[in-house]
Amino acid sequence: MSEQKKTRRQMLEEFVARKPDDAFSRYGLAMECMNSGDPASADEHFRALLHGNAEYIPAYLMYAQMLVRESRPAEARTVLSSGIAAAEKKGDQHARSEMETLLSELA
Amino acid sequence: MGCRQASSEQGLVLSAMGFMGPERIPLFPLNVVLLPGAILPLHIFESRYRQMVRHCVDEKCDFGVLLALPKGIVRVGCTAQVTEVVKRYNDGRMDIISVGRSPFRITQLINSDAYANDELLQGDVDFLDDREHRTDARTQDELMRLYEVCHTLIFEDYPRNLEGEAAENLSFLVASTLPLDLLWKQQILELRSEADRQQRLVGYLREWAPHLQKQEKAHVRAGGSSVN
Repeated sequence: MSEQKKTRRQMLEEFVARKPDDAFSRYGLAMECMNSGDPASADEHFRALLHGNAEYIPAYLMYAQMLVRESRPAEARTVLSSGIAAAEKKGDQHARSEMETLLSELA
Repeated sequence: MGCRQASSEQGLVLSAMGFMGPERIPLFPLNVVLLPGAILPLHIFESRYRQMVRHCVDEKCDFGVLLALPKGIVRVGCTAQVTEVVKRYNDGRMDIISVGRSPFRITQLINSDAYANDELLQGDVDFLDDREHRTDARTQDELMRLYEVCHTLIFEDYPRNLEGEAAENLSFLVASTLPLDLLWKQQILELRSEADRQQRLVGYLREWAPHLQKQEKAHVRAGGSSVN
């Protein structure tokens, strides 16, 4: 009997289980959950990611955009504020500017 | 037409031949950066390249692949060994499989007008060896993790070609498998230390990888304005 091919999400879950602190694996899994219509799991993985890797800048904007789509603007604003501070600390002006734009539109 | 002996142990062969200086090889400018170990299937239809491939197959020697840019060809390329002629057409065209072997730098183009005149370009080249082979374990580990995830996201499958791969080939394997920008691949080809190549790739993949899953869903509307 041939082995059934794993889904991309299952493969990413394996990577995260093997290395829970790896930022990009966790980000990939959060994005995969988000894009496949599972915002609850995406939320969980974005939170875990930013808890363990607060300097992983790309996650803030993606997470905030998802929260906006989920009609959770207050939480989106909190995430964006943290993200702007993290981007500033890291000197990532482009990410900071993107997040400031979204934050201003949510005001 | 001079050309380099094709061998899996080319360094030893050249030493045995007493090779010291530049060597003349036929050149094939393409919109490709060939890296050592990478497989390159080619459909050969132009007369000059049909002749070149026939010569390389008969003499068991390599040709040089160079990235062709709008402003001209780059100076650092990689030799290609023809490993299989998959199909020969009645009109002389061929489908071949080649594999990247040795990086080289052109020291002199022999007939620089040849390309425009539909003739075969040749060049004197120096073959480029790595100046050191040490790698940093942490960088290598990060590169493997980034590669695993990128490969899975792009191809929806694990990278199966990692097993048994020598550490000093990791950068070429990663850069030839992932659909990276050609100029980035060219940079990897031109670096002469595996540690430098791995470090450069980690930096690039860190920037590149988070964009792989961004799609139309990432564009949200907030307050009636689209956010890019």
